[in-house]
Amino acid sequence: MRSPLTRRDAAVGAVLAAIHLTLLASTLDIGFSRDESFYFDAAEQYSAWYDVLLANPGSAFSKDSVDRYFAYNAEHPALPKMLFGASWRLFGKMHDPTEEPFSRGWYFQGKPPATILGWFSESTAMRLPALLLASFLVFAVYLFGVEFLGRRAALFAALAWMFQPHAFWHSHFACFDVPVTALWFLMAWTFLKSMPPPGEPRLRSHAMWALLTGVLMGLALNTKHNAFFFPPMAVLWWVLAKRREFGISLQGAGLKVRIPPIPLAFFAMLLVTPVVYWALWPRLWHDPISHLKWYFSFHAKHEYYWVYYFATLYTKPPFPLGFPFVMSAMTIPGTTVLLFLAGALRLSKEYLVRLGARFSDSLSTVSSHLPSREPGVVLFIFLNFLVPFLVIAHPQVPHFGGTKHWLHGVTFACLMAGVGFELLLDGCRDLADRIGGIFRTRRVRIAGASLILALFVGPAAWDTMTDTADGSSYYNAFAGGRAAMGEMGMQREFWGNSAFSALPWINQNLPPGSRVDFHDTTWGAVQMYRRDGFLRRDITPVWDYKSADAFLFHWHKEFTDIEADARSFYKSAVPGFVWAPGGVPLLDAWVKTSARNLGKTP
Amino acid sequence: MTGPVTRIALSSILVAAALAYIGMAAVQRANVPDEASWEQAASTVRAGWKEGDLVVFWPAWAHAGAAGFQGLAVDIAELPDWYEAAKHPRVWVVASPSGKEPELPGGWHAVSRTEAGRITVHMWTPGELVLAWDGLQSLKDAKVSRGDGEKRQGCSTWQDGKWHCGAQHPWQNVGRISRDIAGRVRDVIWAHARDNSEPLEIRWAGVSAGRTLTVNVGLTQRAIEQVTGSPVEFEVRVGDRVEISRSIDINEAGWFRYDIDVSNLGPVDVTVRIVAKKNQDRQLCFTADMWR
Repeated sequence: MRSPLTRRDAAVGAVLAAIHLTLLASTLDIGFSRDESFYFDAAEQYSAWYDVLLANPGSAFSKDSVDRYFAYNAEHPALPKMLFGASWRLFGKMHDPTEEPFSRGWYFQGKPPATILGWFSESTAMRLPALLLASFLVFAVYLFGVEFLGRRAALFAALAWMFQPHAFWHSHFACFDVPVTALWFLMAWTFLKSMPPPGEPRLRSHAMWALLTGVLMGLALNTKHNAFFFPPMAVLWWVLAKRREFGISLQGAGLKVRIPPIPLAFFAMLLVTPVVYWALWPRLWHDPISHLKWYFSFHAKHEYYWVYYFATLYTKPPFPLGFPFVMSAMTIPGTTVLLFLAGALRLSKEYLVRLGARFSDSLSTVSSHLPSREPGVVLFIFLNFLVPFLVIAHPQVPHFGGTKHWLHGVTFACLMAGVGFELLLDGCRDLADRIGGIFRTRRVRIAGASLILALFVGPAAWDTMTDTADGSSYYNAFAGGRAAMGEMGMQREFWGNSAFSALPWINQNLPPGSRVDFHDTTWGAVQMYRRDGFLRRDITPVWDYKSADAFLFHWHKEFTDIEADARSFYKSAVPGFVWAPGGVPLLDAWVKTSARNLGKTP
Repeated sequence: MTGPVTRIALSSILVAAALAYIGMAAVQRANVPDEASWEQAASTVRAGWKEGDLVVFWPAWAHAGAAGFQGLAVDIAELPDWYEAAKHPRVWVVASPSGKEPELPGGWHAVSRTEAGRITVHMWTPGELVLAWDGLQSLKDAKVSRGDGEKRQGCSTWQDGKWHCGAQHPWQNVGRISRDIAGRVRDVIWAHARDNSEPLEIRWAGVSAGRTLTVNVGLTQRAIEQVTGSPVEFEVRVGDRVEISRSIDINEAGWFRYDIDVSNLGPVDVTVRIVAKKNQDRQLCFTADMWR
C-alpha cells in the first residue's frame, strides 16, 4: 500500500540528489556531443530574445521577434534551450571582447553578452538546468520508491539510477534526454498520486496532483516528443488496472455501461497541458497548426542513423527488435541488471500468485503472505518501463543515439531492480535467521544489509565514476567490458564527443596554426571548446582531411572508408594518437607527413 | 511459494553472480595494456624489425598503442586478414590482453614469443607458398577495356593509380583503393561494374608462373547496404579457360576466395570480366595473386 512520505524520507532523497549533483559537477570534463552543440547554439540565439523582452516586452511576442530568435532548431520545443540560454546569460563567464577581440566571432550576435554573475564556464552554465533536473530526478525516484515500494527498494532504485555510466554521461548535457526522463518520471508520479487508493474517496489533494500532472505533461512535451507516449500508456494502464470495474449489462430496454471514475489527470492533460504546451513554445504562438504539422512530419520522417550491432551495420529498416533490451542488458552495470531480473521475477510471481488465488485456496494462503502493494502500481511501473523500450524496439523506428532514447523507461527498471534488492535482503535475513546467534542482532543485520548494498552498488559506482568522459562507450563486465565493442562488433561512439579526449594532444603537439579535421565533431562543439579554453585558439577547424594537417577519426563502422582514404592521403600506416579507454580505440588521430612536428609545443 | 529456502537460494545465486561480476570486471581491467606495456612491445618489435615485416594486433581491433609503431608497416583493421599478412615474410603479432594467446593460422610457424608487460609479442612466419605476383601491385601492367567485339574500347588513361576509359571518372575506373569489405578495410582493386551489361575487363598477360592463383572478390560495405543495381557477374579466365564464374547478389556480403591450381602451366594470361545489367552502387572489388 501507499506509504506516507516523511520529512526523513525527503531528507534522504535530498541527500541522494545532492550527492548526485556533486558527482555530476565533479565530472564536467566531458566532451560536447553533436546534439548538445546544436542546443548550445540554439540556447544562445533564444537568449537574445530575453533582451527584447526586457527592453520592449510588447514587441517580444510579435511574430517577427519569434521568427528572428526562435527560428533555429525548431524541430524541438524551445523550453530546455530557453532555460539553458537563461542560465548561460545569468551564470556564464563570457569573454571580454575588448581584451579578446577575436572572441567576437564566436558569438551569435557578433559579440558576447555582458557577464552577469560569471560563476561558471559557458558550457557549464548552459548545462546547469539539466544537471539540476537530473539531480532532482534522483530525489523523485527515491520518494516514488518509498511511497509505492518501500524504503529498501527505493534506496537501491535511486542508487541504481545514479550509477549508470550511460545515463550519468547523458545527465551532464544541455540536451533533452535526461530532462524528459525526469519530467516523464515526475508526471508518472503525480499521475499515480492523483489516483485515490482503491476504496478511498477522491480528495482535493488528488485534484491538485491531477492538475500538476497536466502542467508536468505540458513541460515534458515542451522538452521532447517522447512525452506524447505517456497519455496512451496511462489510458492503457487505467483500462487494464480497472478492467473489473468496466461492464455492460442489459437494463430494461437499453444497455447500461459501467465505467470506473475517469482519472482527473486525463482532464488535466486535455485542458491544462495544451495551454502549457502552447504558452512555452514561442513557435506555436502565431501559427500553431502549421508548425505542429511540420514538427510531426519532421519526426515521422526522421532520417535513419546507422547502428553497428553485433558486427552488422544497420543502415535502414528493419532494425533489430531486441536492440533496446539487449543494449540495456549490456550497458547497465551487471549488478543492477541482476537485481532487475530478480525484481521482475518477484513481481511476476506475485502477479501469478494473486491471479491464482482467485481459483485456489492454497494460493490464496500464499497470497496473504505477499508484500502488500497497491493494486495497479506494479502494472504502472511495468508499463512505464516497457513502453519506452517498445517504442524504440519497433523495427521501423530509427535506432540512432545509442541508449538515450529509452532512458525514461530505465528509471522504472531501476524501481524493479529495487524490488530485486528487497528480495535479496529478504533471503539474507532468512539465512541469518537460520544461522541464528549474533546474526539475529539488529546491528549485524544492518551491517550485513550495508555490505549487500555495497556489493551491488559498488561495482556500478566504480563503472560510472571511471572513464566518465566516455560513458556512452561503456559495456558491462558480463558483456565483456568495453572490449565488447571490438569483440562483438558493437557501436563504440555515438555523438562526436571523443574529440574532447584528443584536445590535450592537439594543444601539446600540433604546430601553431595547424588545421584539424574534427570529423564527427560539430562546428558548434569546436567553438565551445575554444570558448571554454579547451582548445588552442590558433587551431583552425576544417571538415576536409585533405586540407587539414590532422584528422580526428571517430571510430564508427560507417566511417572506416574515410579513415582508409585519409590514411592513404596522409601516407601513414599508423595514427599519431589513439584514444582508447578500456583498450578499445574510439578515436584515431592521423597526422599529415608535413605536420609531423610532434612534441613541439607552440 | 517463495519460502525461506527459495529466497536463500535466490539470494545466494545473486550474491555469487555479483561476486563473479566483480571478479570479471577486475580481470578485464587488469588485462588492458598500460602505456609501459605498449612501449615495451614497440621496443621489442623495433629491435627485431626487418624490411618487409608487418605488425598486426591481436585482437585486430586492439590497436590502442599503435602510435608507438610509427614508421613500421602496421595493419590496424578491425578484423585480421591472415591471407594478406602472408604476403609478408615475417609478421609481428602484438597480442593483448594478456592471457589470451593468438591463434596461429594453419600452415604458419611461430618463431618467437616475448612478454612485454601485459602484452605478448609474437613473431610468426607464413606458410611455404611465396607470393610470385600481385595483381594489385601490377595494376599498371594490366590492359583494361570496356565493351565487347567491335565495341571494345581500351581504357588507356592511367592517372593517380587508376585506369580510366577516356576522361577521368570518379568511380567508373579501375584502380587501387582501400574499402570496407566483409568486416574490415581491405586494399583492393576497385572495378565498379558498368551499366547495361557492358563488360569491363582487366587483363594481365604473362603473369609469372606459380602453383596457385588466388582471387578474392566481393562488394563493398556501401554497395551491400543499397537495394540498387543488379547482381554482378564475375568471371576469371586463365588463358582461354573460365576458372571462376560467379554471380554476386546486390546485398551479398563477403570476401569470396578462390584458389585455382595453375601448376605446370608456366606464365599465364589472367583476365577478370565484370558484367551487370544495372550498375548503380555495384562497387565490386577484387584481388588476384599468384603463389609459388
